Amino acid sequence: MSTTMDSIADHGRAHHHSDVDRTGTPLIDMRDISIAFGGIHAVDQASIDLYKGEVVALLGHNGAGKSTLIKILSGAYKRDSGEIFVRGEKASIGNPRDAKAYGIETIYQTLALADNVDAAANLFLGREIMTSWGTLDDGAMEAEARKVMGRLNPNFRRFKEPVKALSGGQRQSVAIARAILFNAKILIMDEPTAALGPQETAQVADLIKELKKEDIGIFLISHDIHDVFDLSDRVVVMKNGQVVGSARTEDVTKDEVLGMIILGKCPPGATPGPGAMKE
Amino acid sequence: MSEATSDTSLTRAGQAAGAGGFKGFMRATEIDTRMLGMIGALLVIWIGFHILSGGTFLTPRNLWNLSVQTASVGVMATGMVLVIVTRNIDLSVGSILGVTGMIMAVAQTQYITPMLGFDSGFVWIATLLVGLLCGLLIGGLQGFVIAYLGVPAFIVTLGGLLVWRGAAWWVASGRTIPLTDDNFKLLGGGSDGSIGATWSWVVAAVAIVFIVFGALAARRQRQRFSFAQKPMWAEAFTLGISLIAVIGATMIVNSYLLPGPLARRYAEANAITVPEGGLEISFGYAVPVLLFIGVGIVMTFITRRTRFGRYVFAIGGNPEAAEPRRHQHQARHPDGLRADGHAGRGRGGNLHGPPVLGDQCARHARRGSTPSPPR
Repeated sequence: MSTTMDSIADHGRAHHHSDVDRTGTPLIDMRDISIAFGGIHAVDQASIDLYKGEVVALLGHNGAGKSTLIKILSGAYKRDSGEIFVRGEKASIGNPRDAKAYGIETIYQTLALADNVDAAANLFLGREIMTSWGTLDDGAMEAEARKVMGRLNPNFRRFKEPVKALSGGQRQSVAIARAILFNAKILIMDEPTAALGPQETAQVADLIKELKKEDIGIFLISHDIHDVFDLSDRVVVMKNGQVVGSARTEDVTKDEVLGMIILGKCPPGATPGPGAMKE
Repeated sequence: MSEATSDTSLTRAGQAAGAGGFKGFMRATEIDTRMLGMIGALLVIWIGFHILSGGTFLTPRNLWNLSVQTASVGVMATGMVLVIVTRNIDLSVGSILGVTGMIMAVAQTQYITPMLGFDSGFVWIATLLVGLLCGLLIGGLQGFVIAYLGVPAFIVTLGGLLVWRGAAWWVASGRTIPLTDDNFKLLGGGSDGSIGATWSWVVAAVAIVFIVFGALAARRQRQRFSFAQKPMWAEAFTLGISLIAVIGATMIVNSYLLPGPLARRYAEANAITVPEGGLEISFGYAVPVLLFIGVGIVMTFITRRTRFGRYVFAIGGNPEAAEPRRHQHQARHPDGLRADGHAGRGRGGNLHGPPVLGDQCARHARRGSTPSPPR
């Protein structure tokens, strides 16, 4: 909690796509990850990294391996080989709980919210603030919820209503606030805009900007190439379980990225990976 | 940014609450509109019956009788809230009420009273314990089958409806069982099982103290976290309505007087000389009604103030969480890949949509891969 509060103070530096500092140790460094289900190499020698305050979009066909790769990071799958480094230290992630301990949180497409209770109750579900009487301290929880939501989504007012009454974008911000309260440093967002209208998609974009300010790194899995170009600092494209290549978003065009996804053709602006089409 | 923003947003919310109109009024007083609807429906029913019955419905006697008859149903309703909130149903409540009632009656007349003696003050407690134990066992059995064997609550309690109804008949052999213990009979209301005018006013006074104290505590709580306070006029309005309700209800139950013969018997029993013009002895609140109010307060506390209650509501709001005992690695991707192994939460993820690229297709994907809300 306090660390995220402190980190607001240093948002003096400008946050534009190109301003991510990639010189230090990456937040996440996944190296040569492989996993096979039966005879199928779902992920084959894939390496990706993520820096503080950076949004890395993972792109590819269905079955390209991006979801599997990211589920290895979130602890849902166990890798067959390869290494994961969190803040430079080798991490052993065997289950979702391990991942949480490293500050890796996943925002599910379904958001996994409890629809019947309000935003504060959702934020604190499972770790409620209690009074000295052993009863729920709703006031304290609402106060904390107001603080966090004030940072992420200053227009949010509907603290008293069950979250099922909220809009898709508002629900998304509740889910993200919940992850942040869990001290998340790395967020995995699986199709965050898939269920949302244009206005709410814009809201999520604002949300992601706020998260970047707080030095949180985000892996974004998306099918919507426009979203990817609006939101991400870097794109990583996968095909047949291998990384085709990665590029800073401003160095490539949408057509080039589509070429990477469909053909595996790596454009000049991108760093080719093992899955790049051989000339 | 954070602190400043949240503070200004609070004051802005406060100003918005001051906005006029019905909506502003409702927001300021924080009255639940759904509750208002139910009260409206109740009033329509009451007034409708009053007119149709030629003015006998809204009388102290009828309302008092209704309050007694509602009490047992109300106690069961407080439990049913928890069941329904978790997306289950209990069809067997009535039958369980019947069978536990019969077991209590048989136990009291055939076993407890002979054992403890006719005048024992413990008969009613022992009877209640027997009833609680039976209810616990029956509920526990049905709950076990629902939660651990995964049989839908509808099926289990439909079976329970039939089984326990039959069991009630079987326990009592279809007879009427008259109860003898006077203490136990107080629980059923009636002229003895009512607390009279003076004690009814004491109950009302206690209720008023709690209501006022509760409002003050709520204000203090808001001050503690510098939330927007309810405007004073709104506070006064809701307090006023609550106090009028308490005093009104007490006046109604107190204006239901003991009928002549009962009053005379009461006077003889308590050595009161009957004044000229007859005795005026009020029923006051019935004991079962007070018990119902007590149960209601306890259940409200459990659902609102404890972790357990919070989780019951939280589980009910998430159908996957509400699904009993089935959330491990089940979904399989059509091509044999294990998809979606993440504790049942990643349902409808990108793995299920058609292979898409670009804008046109992405819109398809939205339709294809987005699970519709389960409502």
